[in-house]
Amino acid sequence: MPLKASQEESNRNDKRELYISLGKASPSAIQQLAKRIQPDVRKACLDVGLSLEDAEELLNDVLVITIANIRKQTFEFQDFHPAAYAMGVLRKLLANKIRSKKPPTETIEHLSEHSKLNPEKYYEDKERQVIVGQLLHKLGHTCRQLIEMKYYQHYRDKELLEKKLVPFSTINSLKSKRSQCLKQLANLAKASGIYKVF
Amino acid sequence: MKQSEIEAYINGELSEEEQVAFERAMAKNPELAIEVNTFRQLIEDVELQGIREQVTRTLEDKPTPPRTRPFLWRWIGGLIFVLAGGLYYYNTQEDTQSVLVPNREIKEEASPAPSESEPIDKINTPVEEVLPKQEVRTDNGPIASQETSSDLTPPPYPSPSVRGQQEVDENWKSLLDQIWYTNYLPKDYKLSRSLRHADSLLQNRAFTTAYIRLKTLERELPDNDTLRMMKGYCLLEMGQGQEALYYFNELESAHPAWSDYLDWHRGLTCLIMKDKQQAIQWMNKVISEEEHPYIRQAQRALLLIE
Repeated sequence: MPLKASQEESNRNDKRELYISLGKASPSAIQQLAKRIQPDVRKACLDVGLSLEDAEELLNDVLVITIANIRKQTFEFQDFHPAAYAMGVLRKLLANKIRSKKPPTETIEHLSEHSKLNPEKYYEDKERQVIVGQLLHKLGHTCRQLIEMKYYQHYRDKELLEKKLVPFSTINSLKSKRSQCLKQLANLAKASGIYKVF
Repeated sequence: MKQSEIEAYINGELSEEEQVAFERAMAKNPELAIEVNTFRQLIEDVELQGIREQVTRTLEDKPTPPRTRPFLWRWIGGLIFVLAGGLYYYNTQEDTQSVLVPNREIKEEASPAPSESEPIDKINTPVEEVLPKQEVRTDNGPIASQETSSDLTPPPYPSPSVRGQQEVDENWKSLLDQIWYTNYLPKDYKLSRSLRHADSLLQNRAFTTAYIRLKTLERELPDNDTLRMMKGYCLLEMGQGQEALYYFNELESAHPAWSDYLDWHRGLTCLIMKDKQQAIQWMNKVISEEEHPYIRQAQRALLLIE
């Protein structure tokens, strides 16, 4: 019995570790989750007549949503494997993809966390986000670097200065420049018509 | 209201008092509230797109293996490898100089003794890893200049968009499309394993993904000139003339052998920036050297620009 208990504890720690690493978008965690769910994603897609290309795209979307929801804390760790959550996301996206209004027949594990997921909104946001990604590349090198380091890679400003990763000597000058860059990006986004207001 | 305050508010970096004051200001000023919402949305979009690119990059890096007969695939892979190797060996033995020889004499310096100034890829890369990249685009590459510029076939790929006042400048772009003879890296470049994925992305013209990949690698290999050259080329194809020029300028002094490539491509960076005068200077430099491999392209460019 103690052996079984320690094994369970170890399993739970593994799941928690994977959950935390996914929140950091660590490549090894992404690969681990992808490897675990990919066969099911493919099978589910083929079963409803979708192609393997669709399966790859869905796999990407499932991983993005899972990671984003860990970061937003809308998916909190509850002792189950992140793959179970990811499969719930898959079912929602799949249902949307085949335009079925009918909810999945089998019980969805931990439905509550992703029951708020609106696939149509997700795909609408995705289009806009891809454009924002492209606009980001139209900014100058320094601007892009500043925004990416803060919002992609989650560096702290102090760390950026200490490691001399950016050409600024004070936090104020760094913040001021980054804000200007965001403003520039917002203007580009406005010009491209992806934001209705502002 | 300072722009940086909006960002600080969104990131929860204001003190309690400052936050209250900010929220009061927002309540009084609906435009500010709209601006804050837009910034918040923008930041969220940037972050989500960052995650998406990270996922794509990761899955491209190491695709999960299919669950079908791994042994059989290994055998097939091995067979293809052996056949490809044999074919490559045969081709190099049979026809080493027929397709790619530029009009300038090739210096037989394929594997000189490494010096400190060489890119680290060159130093660490075994000879068999040298890849003959330029073969793909021989039609439009720097080939012998016996013919005139009018014999050139049109560039195989269009130029990136040129922006002026937020609108795509169609006239300028159509001119660029006629002279966009870009080549992916000078002939003698060599790759280490870590650069191969980015190399394949660039060859497949997936510039945005390649750029992100190169940027990540730049941290690991800050002094790698091959990487810097790849990044310069990538930026050029993305329409980022000024940044591409920065990389190209830096590389010339370190690698005089790349100067022909750099002359022409710096001309293109100036055209992307709509710096006509500077571009003409680079084109004239190319034309002034009788055996310059890009002479036909430069002649054509000058004809069209002037």
